[in-house]
Amino acid sequence: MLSISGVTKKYRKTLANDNISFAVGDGQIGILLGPNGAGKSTIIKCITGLLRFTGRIEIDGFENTSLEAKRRLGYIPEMPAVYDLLTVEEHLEFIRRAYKVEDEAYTRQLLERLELWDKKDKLGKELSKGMQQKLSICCALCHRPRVAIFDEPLVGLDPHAIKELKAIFRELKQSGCSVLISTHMLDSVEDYWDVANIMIGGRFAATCYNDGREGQDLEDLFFQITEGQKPQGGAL
Amino acid sequence: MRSALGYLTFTKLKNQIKDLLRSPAKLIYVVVMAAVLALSVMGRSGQELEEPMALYNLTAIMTLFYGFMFLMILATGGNSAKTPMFTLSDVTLLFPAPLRPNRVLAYGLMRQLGLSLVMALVLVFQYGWLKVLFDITWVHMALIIAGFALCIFLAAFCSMAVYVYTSGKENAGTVLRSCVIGLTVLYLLWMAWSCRDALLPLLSGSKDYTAALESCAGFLSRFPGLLFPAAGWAAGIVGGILTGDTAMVLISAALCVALVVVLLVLVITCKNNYYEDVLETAELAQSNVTAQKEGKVNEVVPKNVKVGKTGLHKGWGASALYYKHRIENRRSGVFFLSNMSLIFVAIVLLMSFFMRAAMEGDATAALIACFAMGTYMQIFSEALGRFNRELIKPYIYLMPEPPLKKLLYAVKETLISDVFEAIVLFVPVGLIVGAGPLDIVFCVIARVSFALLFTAGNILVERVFGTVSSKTLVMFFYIVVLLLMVLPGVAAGAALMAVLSSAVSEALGLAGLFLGMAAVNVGISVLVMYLCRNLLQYAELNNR
Repeated sequence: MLSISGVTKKYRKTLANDNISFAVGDGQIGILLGPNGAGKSTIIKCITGLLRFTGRIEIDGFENTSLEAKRRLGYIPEMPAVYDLLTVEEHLEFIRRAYKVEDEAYTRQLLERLELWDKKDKLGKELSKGMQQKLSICCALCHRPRVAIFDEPLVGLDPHAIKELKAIFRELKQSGCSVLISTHMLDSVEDYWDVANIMIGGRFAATCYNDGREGQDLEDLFFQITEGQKPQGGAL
Repeated sequence: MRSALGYLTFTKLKNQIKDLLRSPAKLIYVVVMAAVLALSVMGRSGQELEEPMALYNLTAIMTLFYGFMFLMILATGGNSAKTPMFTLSDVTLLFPAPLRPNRVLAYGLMRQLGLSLVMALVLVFQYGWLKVLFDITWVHMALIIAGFALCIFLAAFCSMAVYVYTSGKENAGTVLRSCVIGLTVLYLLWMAWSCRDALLPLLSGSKDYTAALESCAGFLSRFPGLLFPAAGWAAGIVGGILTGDTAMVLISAALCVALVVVLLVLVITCKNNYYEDVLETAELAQSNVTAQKEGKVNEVVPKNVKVGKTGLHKGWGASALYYKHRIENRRSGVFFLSNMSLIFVAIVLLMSFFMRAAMEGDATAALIACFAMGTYMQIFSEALGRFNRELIKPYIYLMPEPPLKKLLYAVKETLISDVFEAIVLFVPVGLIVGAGPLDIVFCVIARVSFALLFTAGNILVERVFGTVSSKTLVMFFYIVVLLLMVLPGVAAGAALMAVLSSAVSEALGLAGLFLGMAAVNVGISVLVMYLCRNLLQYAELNNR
């Protein structure tokens, strides 16, 4: 369970997030949508503890900066974060050791699914941007987080990786993990989202729940809201 | 209508000036630099020698300095990522445009020349001591700067030509590098041979350094000593003007022009175009620019990394950070000491020889002078530790471990390297200047305490100024903070030395000074680290 209450983040005079509250329940997939500069990455960085903020963020009932919360959190940043001088396998070993996780089999499974196993001895600096993104995903998931935050996870991925990642989203959902995805690729999340939050100017312009009704097209909703039209259909 | 390249050059220049005026951080930086310059000049006024040194000595210094910079630029791949001839925007916008490649090349060369001039401006800060020793004027200083800019430009151009010729050829780079090293060694041997009458007595115990220095200066300030490619010629032009030697100016200038023509011909005729060759450098430069904008410390990773043994094998929780750092160090070719630390160690070792001669047997004064120099350089080497690089990745913040524990393991590798560096540096320095064993031990202890202090300073700057967007300002704050943190230790050391009776001082040598500094430094470091223990929990990492 991911819970955000009254989060405000200011960069000097710029109000990046203005009193934002939302939640993503266990086994739910939440989507963050919005034009560039809407404040999506800022709220994600607040959740992961990379930015200071006012308000409260809880991960499985623990304050987000607590060790218990960090243990339960997986974060895939917008820009892949890999170490130039570690091999692919060493990245995963480092994360396993840092998180005190002994399950090596799951790591291998993730690497195989994202077609990185045959590159396990390659250095981070030798990987293409897409491969770095895949490695970043593996690093964030190898300790089996209870809350997974994805910031533009599909950018740079090849079709096979996109397919696998979508399957991983569904599996995380089935396992009871709370998943939050920030994306511009609306069609990529069309068929499995539970709650979509549309952000404009640091605020939530709308929150939509996917109740399985016909005519709930995320793309239509997005354009209606961001282009100032009254949305038709969808539970708002 | 103005040509596209002319428009681009003019508009970029105009916008850079506007940007400088609109950016308070940059303006503050310029004002502070101007103030430092004024202080360095005014602080020395009135100290001029009654009989200034002969200007040919200045030509010799220029030949040495220009030569060193020329080789450094060549060694680092001069068309380097920091000052590339073409930016990525040039590559993506100009190269596909219907412009003649030679005109684009001319644009790149002009840009490089401008950049070289800006880089050379740092020499302005040397005006103070040059004025004292040589009684130079600002016109002389301008000439020295122009000569340096010319040298950097030629080095970058040479490097580009080398790159164009060697790209895609497996061993060509190694062969060329060997040639450059070989030529440099030959040049040094030639100098040693020419000055043998003054140098040989030194080997048999003579202490007449003045004759040796004068002999070397004589070689470096006239032909054939000025024949060292590019650097010697640039020094020859400036030295010739300073000493009124028209022949030297003309020959040196002709050699420089000939080099530019040869390089131009090489680059233009080598392949159909040089675009492919500069693309990689431009991309690298762009990633450096982006990293700098985002406050990241871009690691200089060797091109060919030897992976070797894989796996961390040790570490659980926060300690995994330390074992990861050890692997990264091994792969980046660092055996306890980084390349920059090695250079600093070499400089201080070299200085210790001069200090031994200059202090005329006063080992204490020589050791203190070397220690002060080493500590000053330590400020910069400490900023490049692996700890600072770790802060740019999110993992250290996300790790579910107590922040203080993560902090200590993140700096563990740096501190161990610092202990090793202190021993490697001050044991030989102590032996060279003739210091006693106790003084050497206390000196090592004090050095380690400064390492701890500067590491704590790094943490403090990250904690307090981590959110400042201008990285120039952060660097400025870093230096100011470190200077403030250093003061109590230095004061305590000096006070302890003064308080101790002469009998105790005689028995313990510099113990009072070094131990006083060390005790206060350690105390301040521990306090700062404790106060900043939450750095890795409540990070403000907008760009990371």
